Amino acid sequence: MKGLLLKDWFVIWKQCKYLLIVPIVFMLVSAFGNDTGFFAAFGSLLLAMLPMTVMGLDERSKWQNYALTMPFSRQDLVISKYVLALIGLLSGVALNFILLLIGKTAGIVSVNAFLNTEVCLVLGGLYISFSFPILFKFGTEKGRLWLLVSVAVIAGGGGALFSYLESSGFQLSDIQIPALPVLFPLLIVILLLVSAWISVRLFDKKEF
Amino acid sequence: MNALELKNVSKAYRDFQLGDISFVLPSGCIMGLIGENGAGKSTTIKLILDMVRRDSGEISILGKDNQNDFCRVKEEIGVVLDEAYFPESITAREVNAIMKHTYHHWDESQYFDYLRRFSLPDKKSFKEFSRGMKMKLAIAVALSHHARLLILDEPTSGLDPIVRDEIVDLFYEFTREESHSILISSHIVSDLEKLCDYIAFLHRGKLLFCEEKDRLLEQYGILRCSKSEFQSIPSGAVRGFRDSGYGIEALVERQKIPFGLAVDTPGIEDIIVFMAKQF
Repeated sequence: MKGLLLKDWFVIWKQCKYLLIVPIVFMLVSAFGNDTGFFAAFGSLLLAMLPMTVMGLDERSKWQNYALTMPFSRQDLVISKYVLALIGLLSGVALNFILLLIGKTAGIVSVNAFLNTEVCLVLGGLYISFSFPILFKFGTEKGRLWLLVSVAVIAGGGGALFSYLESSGFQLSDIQIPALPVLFPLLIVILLLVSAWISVRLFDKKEF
Repeated sequence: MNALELKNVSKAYRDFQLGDISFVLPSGCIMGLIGENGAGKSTTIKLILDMVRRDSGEISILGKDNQNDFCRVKEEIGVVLDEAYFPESITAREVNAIMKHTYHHWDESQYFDYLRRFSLPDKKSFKEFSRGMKMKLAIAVALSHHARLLILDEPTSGLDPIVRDEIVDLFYEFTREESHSILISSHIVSDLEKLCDYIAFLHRGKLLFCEEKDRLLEQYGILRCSKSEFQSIPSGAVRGFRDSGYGIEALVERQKIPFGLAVDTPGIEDIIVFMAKQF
């Protein structure tokens, strides 16, 4: 799988550098613009979306046809994209966390960095779990339409939820359910595993 | 051990059917898969590589079923598809880095030797390569991980004769090793005639024959005669004919022809063209 990830990295670095810059700008806006966390979540989501761009380029060059002649299974091809998405999400979330801590230390933001990070992880995980089976089933061209809907629902819904909670005088930082920080990531891990299982099954039926 | 065995392999699409394909490629041999465009050559190769799932039949590569632990077998197969499907931004040097982490037996020095031999630039992106350069890069990859079997789908199509000749020589070189085998598909019969020990002829999804090339050339002949002479020949001896108005040109089985009639040695192209006309 290392070979597949290395290929993806070369493609991202050479063809999609701008996709690495936009999320960073979003995170800077979030950390130093006293944002509610929407931009941070969206920035992390954008990094989790990198595999979709790479999959589009793979389809264009028919890389998958070629990769299947190499010592990779269909499962390797699917799982490598999940790994790439998680690497993107985790690096985005880690960067966002650091920026928020800096912003908080400087007294610019009042957002709870830990909670914000967790929300970003949950949203990113939700996005990957929901969108990948669609992309593996329909390909990026048709899948993109489905994806637009999913991004609008997840990011818009998340942002709206934050705003609503805060306008109701409810501070996210005040949430006192001790199990919540453990429960959410656990749920996401389960969702990702189910999603990967579905994607592998869908991709297994494809013919090249 | 056979390099490749197909037994009654079938695959049906809505508008095309590949039916009941069986052939054996013995280890150390080169087999050419010939057929017109759309005959089913690429589908056969995709079935062998399990890129397309067979409806029925059995396929074994280097002694193993291609749907069972195929990744390990793929370590020993070098594949060149009809196009070189590398991402457009990748350079030949980056291909080396990727393959180093893909094949256990990747031979970096051999790969760079091939790059030099083919005069391929290692820092130029793939999109800037000509078609010949792209195919040469794919061939360099296929030959640089100590494969025992090469599966080549039209590797020479669209290339100029000089490059084609260079590539055919390279395949020759590969089979100097006794355990090395090649399955190569092409509709450029002259390339295959030069290279192959066996010829498999696919026509409209059916395998019309799979024979040793020399046996084919011994078995068949081209008979040029008058219409009256032609009528005296047993119909079972004729595998295809052409009536030019002035006379008949026919592909015949030498052993079934009455003594005294002059029969010329055919080319593989003659054999397949006449046979295709019959079906």
